Amino acid sequence: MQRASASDVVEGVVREALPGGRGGVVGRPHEGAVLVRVSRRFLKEFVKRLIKGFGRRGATVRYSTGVATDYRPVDGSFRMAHVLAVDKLKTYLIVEADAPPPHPRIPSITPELPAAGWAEREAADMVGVEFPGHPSPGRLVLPEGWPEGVHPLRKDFPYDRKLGVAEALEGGTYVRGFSSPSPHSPGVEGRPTALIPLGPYHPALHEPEYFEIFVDGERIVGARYRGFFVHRGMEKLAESRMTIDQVPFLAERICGICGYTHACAYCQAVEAAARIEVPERALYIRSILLEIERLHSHLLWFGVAFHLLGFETGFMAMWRVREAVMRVAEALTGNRKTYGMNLVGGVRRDIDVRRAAAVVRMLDEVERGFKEFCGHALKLGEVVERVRGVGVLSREDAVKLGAVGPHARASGLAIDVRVDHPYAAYGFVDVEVPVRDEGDVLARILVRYEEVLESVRLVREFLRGMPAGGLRAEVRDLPPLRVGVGATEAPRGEDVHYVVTGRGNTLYRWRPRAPSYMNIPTVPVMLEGERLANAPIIIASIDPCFSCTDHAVVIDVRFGVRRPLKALVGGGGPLG
Amino acid sequence: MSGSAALAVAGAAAANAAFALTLAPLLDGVERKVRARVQRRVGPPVLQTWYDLIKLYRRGFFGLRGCGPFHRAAPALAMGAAVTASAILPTVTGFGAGFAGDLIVLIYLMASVSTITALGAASSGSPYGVVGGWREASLSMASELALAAALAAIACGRGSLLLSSLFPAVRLGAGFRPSSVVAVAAVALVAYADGLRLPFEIPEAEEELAEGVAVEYGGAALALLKHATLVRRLLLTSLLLNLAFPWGWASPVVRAAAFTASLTLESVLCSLTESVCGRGRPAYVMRLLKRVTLASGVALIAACFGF
Repeated sequence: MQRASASDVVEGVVREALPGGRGGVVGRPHEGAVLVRVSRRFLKEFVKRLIKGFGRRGATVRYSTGVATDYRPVDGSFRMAHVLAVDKLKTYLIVEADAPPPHPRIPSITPELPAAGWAEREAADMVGVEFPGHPSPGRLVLPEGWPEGVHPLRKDFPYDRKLGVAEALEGGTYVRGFSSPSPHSPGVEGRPTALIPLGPYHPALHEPEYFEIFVDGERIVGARYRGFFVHRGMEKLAESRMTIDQVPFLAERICGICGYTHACAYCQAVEAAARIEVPERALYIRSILLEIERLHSHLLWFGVAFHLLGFETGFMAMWRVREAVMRVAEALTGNRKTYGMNLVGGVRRDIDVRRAAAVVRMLDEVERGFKEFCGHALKLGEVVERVRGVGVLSREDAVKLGAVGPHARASGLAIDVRVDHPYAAYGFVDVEVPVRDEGDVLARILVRYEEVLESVRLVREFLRGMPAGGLRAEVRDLPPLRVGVGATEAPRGEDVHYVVTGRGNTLYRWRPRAPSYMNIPTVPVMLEGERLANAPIIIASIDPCFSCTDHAVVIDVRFGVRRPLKALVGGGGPLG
Repeated sequence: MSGSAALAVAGAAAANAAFALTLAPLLDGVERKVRARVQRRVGPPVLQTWYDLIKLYRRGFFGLRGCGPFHRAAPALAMGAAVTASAILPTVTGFGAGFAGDLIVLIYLMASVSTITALGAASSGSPYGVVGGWREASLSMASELALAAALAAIACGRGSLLLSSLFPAVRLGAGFRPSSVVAVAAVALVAYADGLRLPFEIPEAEEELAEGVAVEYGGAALALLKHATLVRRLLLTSLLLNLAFPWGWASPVVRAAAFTASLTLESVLCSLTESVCGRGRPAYVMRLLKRVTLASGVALIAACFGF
């Protein structure tokens, strides 16, 4: 098998990179994944050698996700797992390093792989592992008023613990590390610039986010992002009081648009960890639903993009086409959104012949409506000129910052989980992956345009090729403390779920990483030097999902940037 | 001027102003309906804009503490300028206030509405307001210049600064001047652009600036601002209709009906155009307006040489 040999190559490179053969254990947790545990002292050097080693074989190491876990109840240490994607060799490489309590410290690998920056900061917030050498340390996920030394994802932190009311911060109004309340800050190159706050509630995407945009007239000279305002505590909840079969329903609620892809990635991670063979028919059904979700998401995005360009007719037309997709979803799942279909080991509902025929008919309608309208809209000189050459992300920056999905593909990176790490039924078909080199907003629009048509084609092909068979493998007691990585190509890019199984069919650790987590850090880079008028469409061009990105924290804390910070509501306050 | 004549002029001016104030929100309602039909929606009732304004007017003035006095006064000043302008320009009655130099006063008042709006927004201190005000100011500077040049070209041919002597701008036969055709075309474009229609609707730009110039206003102040903007849009169209078509033939009643119908038709045409447009980049919009200004400048020079 080609896939096995690719993982062999990865293992070879890993062994070469291990410093003098010391401090490293190599294993294969499941198909398509290689795990290596190195001593934290060698970690940085090891990663450096890995990048070089894969570089010699023409493969790029892309930072996928980073997960810190409190293993104290198991073996007395903390562990950081960096998940690196070697897309060309179809393998996820999990690099683990341990650190002993009480002050776990693991050298930062962000200087080698800048895309690790957020994952390490989040690990520092949530599990309390320190990363010496991180170029920009500081709180990422936890609010500024959160007490020092309290880390919610540690195992000795009860999920229902309530903290007292936190002190309002000095000055009380601005997020730490961000500007003074004065709208006129010294700015760049000594020239005074005005500060335009975009958020804490996005005027058009209707989600909480906060971009600080520094402008000189209408020209943007700098931008900063602060997110993680909506804290839902999903990881803690899943790890504390849910069983593996309940979590799919929690996972799909990470996002209101691409929920199914989260449920899928989660199930794949558990199935991989426990080596569960999912019936082929179930894999086809998952693929069909994933593509329908992509159609829904992309059409929604086209509508929002036109809305942001002031082109309301386009907005309405796209959402009318999307309506047909929602009817398809309803026919297949009973919900207008593709919810409630996944369980570990398979799916809950079948697609019968009659429904399949109805879906094909509705898809024709979708394809016709989309081609007719969007094809025309993309010929309107006005709309095209508005986005051509705007918000360029160079290939180098896309690689450096770890961009994923259509966003990366519009900057010339041919990465797509469906092809690079085949899952569900994507191994049985050929997926066309559109790639463009321009890296501007127009390229992102055109990539998504092609992807919509490809999704329609894929659903038809899956419906034709769907084999008969069972819907779900039998799932007995899972072996504990097994690691699994599940990845899907969500509409917005690679969605990775990392799980460690627990005793009694529970989860010891679960960390979902949504695609926007990787794409949002590219936005400030794209904004620089642009006109303010282009900022909304540039931000929207990555199809950001702030709620996906913000799923991760324990206590529901609401604070605006202009109000005094009342971080933690004690007593009977709202708990996420 | 005798007493009764003065009274008639005052009556006509008052009728014009009342007409503009009443019809402008109605036309906006018609446009919303047209756009909705293009988008295959039912759309709000034609009276919706009026309902919105009434709701806002009822809320009174509030919440403007901490802003400069000019910010607070701007909506009322803008409305004052718009109403005065509507008294000067013949619309429903065919007579304006009519005095020597009323042409200059009209241009001045029309420009004032947007200048006051821009300054009011800029003095709010809100970053969105400041950017919106900046856009409003640049847009109005570009379009008012084109408008002034176009009107000057026509006035040059007539040798008079009396507004009524300009109507209609194009006369066939001995009085025909090619420059006035260009000038009327320029006025048509300015009426569209300065009426803040897509792609020129950049000062408010809900999705970019969260209402821009209007962001810090609420209640009656917001209603005044919106109402004044709508009245100004109607006046721009009325000016175009006066220049483009002869109205002298009609009896007062026929004129009133025909004029209203023409305004409505123009609104429908404009909103159909808007339906296929997105919002332009400010730089792109300015580039378009510069071309219009250039054309009216050429028309003015040609008119000076008797063409």
